[in-house]
Amino acid sequence: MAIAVAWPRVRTANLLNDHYDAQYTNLFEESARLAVARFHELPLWNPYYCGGIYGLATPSARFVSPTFILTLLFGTLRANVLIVMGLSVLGMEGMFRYARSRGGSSLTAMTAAPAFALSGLFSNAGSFDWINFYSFQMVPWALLGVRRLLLGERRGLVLAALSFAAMLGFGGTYSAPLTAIAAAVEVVATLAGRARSPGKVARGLLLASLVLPLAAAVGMVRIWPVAEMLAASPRYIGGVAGETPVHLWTDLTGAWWNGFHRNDFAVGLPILVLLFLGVCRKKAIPLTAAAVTWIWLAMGYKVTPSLFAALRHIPPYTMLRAPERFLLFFALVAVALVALGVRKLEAIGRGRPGWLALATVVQVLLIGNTVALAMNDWSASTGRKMVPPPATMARDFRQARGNRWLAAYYPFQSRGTLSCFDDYDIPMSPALRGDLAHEEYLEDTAAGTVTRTSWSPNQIRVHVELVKPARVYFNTNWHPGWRSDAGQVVEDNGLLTVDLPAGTHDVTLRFHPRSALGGLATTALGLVVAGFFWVDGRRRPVFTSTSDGLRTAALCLVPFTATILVVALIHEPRRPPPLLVTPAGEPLVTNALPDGAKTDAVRWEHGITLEGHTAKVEPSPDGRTVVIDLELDFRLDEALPPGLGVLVHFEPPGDRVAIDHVLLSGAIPFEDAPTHATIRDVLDPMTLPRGKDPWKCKVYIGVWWALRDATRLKVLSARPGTVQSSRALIESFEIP
Amino acid sequence: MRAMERREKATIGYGTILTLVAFAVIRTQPNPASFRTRSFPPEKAHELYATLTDGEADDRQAAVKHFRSNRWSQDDDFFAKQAKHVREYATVHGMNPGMLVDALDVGMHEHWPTPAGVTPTATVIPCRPRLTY
Repeated sequence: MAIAVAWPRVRTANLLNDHYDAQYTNLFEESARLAVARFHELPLWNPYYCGGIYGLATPSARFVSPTFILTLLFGTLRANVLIVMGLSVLGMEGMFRYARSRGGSSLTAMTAAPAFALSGLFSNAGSFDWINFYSFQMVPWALLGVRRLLLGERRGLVLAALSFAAMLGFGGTYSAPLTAIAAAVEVVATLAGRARSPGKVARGLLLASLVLPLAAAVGMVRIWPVAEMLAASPRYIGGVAGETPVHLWTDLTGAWWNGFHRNDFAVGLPILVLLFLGVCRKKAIPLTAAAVTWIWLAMGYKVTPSLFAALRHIPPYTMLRAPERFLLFFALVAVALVALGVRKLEAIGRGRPGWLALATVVQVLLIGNTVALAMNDWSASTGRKMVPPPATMARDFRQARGNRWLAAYYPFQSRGTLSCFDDYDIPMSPALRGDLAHEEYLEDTAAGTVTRTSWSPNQIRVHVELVKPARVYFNTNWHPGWRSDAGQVVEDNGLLTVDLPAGTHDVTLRFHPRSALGGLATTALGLVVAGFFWVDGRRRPVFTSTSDGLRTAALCLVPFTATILVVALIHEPRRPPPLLVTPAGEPLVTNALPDGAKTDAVRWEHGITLEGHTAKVEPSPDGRTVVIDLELDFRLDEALPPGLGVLVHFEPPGDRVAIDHVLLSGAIPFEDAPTHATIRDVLDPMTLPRGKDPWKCKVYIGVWWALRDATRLKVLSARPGTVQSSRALIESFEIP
Repeated sequence: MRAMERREKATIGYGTILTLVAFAVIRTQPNPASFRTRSFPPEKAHELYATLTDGEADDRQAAVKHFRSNRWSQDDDFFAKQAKHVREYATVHGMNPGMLVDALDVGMHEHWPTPAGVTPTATVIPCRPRLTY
């Protein structure tokens, strides 16, 4: 079935998906493949994107998983298809087993399972080559593991932990944290049935808690680098996403005006109807409760109270968006409910031809639903624009200015693209160049010469001859994991540089970040422990006592000795905190308003004051537009909770240009700003068109919950007549 | 006896699956015909470079109108327009966009002159994605 569904992809497996998201997902995998296949190195540093990024720390990269073997064997593009097929099979099998574990009929578990594994989320993700979203196919395995663990099965622990680790390794930035919520729901629902026996509840909690350290240990090779990276460059997601009930219904069933095709979360109308067979059963109460929870979460901010909004207060869910993705968990529960309901129908129907006929109709509906989902997938696959990949050019590497909308072309051609995109602020140097004669150079050319002698993603060798001490520049981003066997590695405006004394030097720079070494060691030990539990599970299938559980917990912690040892023994400089400077390099924090600033004294809740502002309006060189430089000067009376942002509205007549932002001067959020000082928020220059006649542009300032529910803080005081919709008018320009 | 029957059934089942998978794997093999594109005359490279870079100032100006105050978005919008030009040119001339991408890179590194005397910006604005999309 997976082959049949993936057939349009099979036919175009050697072609490149032209979608812009496919550009960087394929680049991540191809760069890892090149590191291993061409340079015989671990894929640690990815030099092909943004001027160099840490591959293991790239959240959506998927190469740290067993599927990477397929990439190495068949190449990135062919492997995409094979991975999609393989994981679809895994998803169907997992869904079947999960539904069976919930008491569903075997026939129905089989015929309904595709409603999960072939559901619209996968079709949609596949059409953009978001292959890492197929990590969601591991969800039923993770939950099955948790269920078996709660029944006391030792192998359940391994199954759950490895499923989580596989998601993390496969770039499951959504799947792993979302499945953690599903696992928590599973634990609560199961243990609620044992509420009368506190001992059993405590034992269940102990067993369930074992998943966390074992999954963390096995997944450490990804968790550590990604956590380090996101701590340095948090992901700021604004907006109040959510779906109304009508939209959710359309998402799940498909829209008639679209031929029920190309819908992003399709599970099919029959599933939504048949699940009511299961809901009627007492056994289905936990599943029904879970289904309601997933719908509630999927509605995001479009429902009050919003469970999604509450979830976004808890790290790491503060960075979560697209609540509709919870619909996949609804699909899983719906399939289990259908299987449960039909089992009852089959039981009633034994010896009763009428009931059996009804059960047959149900099966026909489910098979028909699978066909509809397959067609939905076909529609998504055939809708992709597939183009021939570029010719492979194995030549000396250098950075190109590049183009992120064509990013996948660059690794094939041994080039990096400086132009890039991801969902977070990528630590990259503004000094990277796409026109250098040599990628390694001296700024002071009179100081000597630099010659590249060898290059690979993780290792650069140069021969340097200096008549005086000098700094060697490498046209790649600095990272604390870069080490040199000569001189001193220094970060210079984000660039990787090495300070060397006068003389002749053969310098080798290696990228060996501590998190990679520690992560790999911890993961290796985690896999050994998991393997031991799996083998031991044959001899001792169930946990026999609390002390057995505690012994297992102690073993689960053993891999972290590698983490501790690496932290203790390997020194690595910390990434410097963001410089508290304005874009012009001036101090961001001062004791008083800058010279020439106008006083505003607008006060909001939480002790936020706009002390003043500076605005400069100048015509652009061509005279067709005006450029406005705006600086806002805030003062905070108290430490602020996270999630606030500044709202800046430029309002020409009948129009609005919003420059809402979270980082003050692009450097720090409100919650990290010092109190009782002037904090300068200098905005990027604003360009407005000039009209035939002069016109007025008003500027309103507000403070809002940018990373929460988007509500605005109340203005407590301002100049009379300037407050409108919780914003204060601070300026009115005449645009000539 | 029953175990033997089950083994036979399993062999047939897994055999069928493996055959199908092998068929799919073979079917994914590259077809050389799909990569055949018109050759790229070297003298065309300069012309192409000039075509793609001479419009850079206008595209950047248009990007500023689209994103009035976010420097990364302005830069990114320019690259979106450039990618569109590359794809259109490649389609019209039966070329692989990779050839155009390479010509742009070589032109920038070798500082090829253009009729309009354009020197493309060699740096990019570091990735600072917008708050909402």
